Amino acid sequence: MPQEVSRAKAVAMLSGGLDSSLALALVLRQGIEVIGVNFSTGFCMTDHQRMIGRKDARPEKLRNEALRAGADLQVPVEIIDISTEYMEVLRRPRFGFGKNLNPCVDCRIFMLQKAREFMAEVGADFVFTGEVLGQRPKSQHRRAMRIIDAECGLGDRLVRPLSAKLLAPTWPEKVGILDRDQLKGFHGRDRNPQIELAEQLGVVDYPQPAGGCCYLTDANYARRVFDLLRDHDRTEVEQEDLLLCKVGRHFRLPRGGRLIVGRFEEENLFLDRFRSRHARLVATAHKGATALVSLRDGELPEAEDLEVAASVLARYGKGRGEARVVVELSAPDHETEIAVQPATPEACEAWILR
Amino acid sequence: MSRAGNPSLDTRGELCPQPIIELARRVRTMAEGAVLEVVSDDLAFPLDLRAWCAGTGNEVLDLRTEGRIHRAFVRRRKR
Repeated sequence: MPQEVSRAKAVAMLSGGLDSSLALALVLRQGIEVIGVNFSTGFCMTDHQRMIGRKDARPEKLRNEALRAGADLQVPVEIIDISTEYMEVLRRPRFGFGKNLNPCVDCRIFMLQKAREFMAEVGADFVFTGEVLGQRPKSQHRRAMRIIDAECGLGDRLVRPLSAKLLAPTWPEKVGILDRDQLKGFHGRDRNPQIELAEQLGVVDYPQPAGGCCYLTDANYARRVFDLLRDHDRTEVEQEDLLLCKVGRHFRLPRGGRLIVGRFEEENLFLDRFRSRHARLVATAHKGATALVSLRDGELPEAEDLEVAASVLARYGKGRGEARVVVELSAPDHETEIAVQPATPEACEAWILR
Repeated sequence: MSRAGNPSLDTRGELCPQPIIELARRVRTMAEGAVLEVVSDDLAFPLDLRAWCAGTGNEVLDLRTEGRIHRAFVRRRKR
């Protein structure tokens, strides 16, 4: 056996889903030392649910799956926050968006570039992922993979153990660090081969269903962000704007203003955190939602929009059956009260963003 | 410093995954066998803490939850 076998070290790109867990198990089985890396982009749905912190949330549903997968296979996992830099990927994706707001090819390139840096930092020999050829339409077909391999700078130091037999041999396979025969040739969206392999390898704990954790692939979220982009140049959109697109019901008001109404207590509290950059609306005498109205260059929106916003807010509170509800509006340097008739469901439907 | 004289890390108000990122960063600077007290109000922190320790070989000496506050003592592993 070549001497490198005892010294071989790899970085696993680990989401903690079934595919990356299986890739990890396959590489570990060959005696390679592995360090897992998990990148936090700020668009993970589970992280957001934790951020909101609903009282009835079940912690086991909100655990970090990458850490859990690492623990199951006794592998250390490093979580790296790339959320700030990731904004640039989102603002200018060279290879465009997928069906929604998902810049999948640029996302893979960026994460693999980060993994390459991490590989150098920890003195590892190669990087591997749980990608399966043909599984995802935007980034996991041969042409996209070739682009990704070249652009990320890893070249043949990037291994995809689950589809390795369908791809060109990589450096660790060529030099004998990895035995190609023990890697797999999975292709497409059928999950049965992975489920079978999981049973063989004793990988029993993995999240169901597979995937679906990224807000950027969510159609509702994408609609809200694209609506936001009607008012802003893409380069002006900040992390906070994108964060607020994950919360509450969103409305586009008649004069162009934007309104967000909390759906439950924890969302209302969450919205409160952003009151310094928005106008905040709450009913004075009736329990109910908290709402935020976007300011324009620090100024309040037009009076008509504020009135509609107050009426929509009143609809989502205990005063919805009253003739008049008083709503307190507070913004930096501005406080007032507006008395409104709660909006009808039909009126709310006309302004809500679906 | 915590009441027991251990260094402490208060991550209350930090959003996931920051508590574990900060914990990992801090533990790396500690001597082998040293103990860190860490406090978090992140909902799934206890699960993540135990998983992180199981993967890295560090040790959870104690973990308690009062209301929404989790308080743990973590010992850096000895090589």
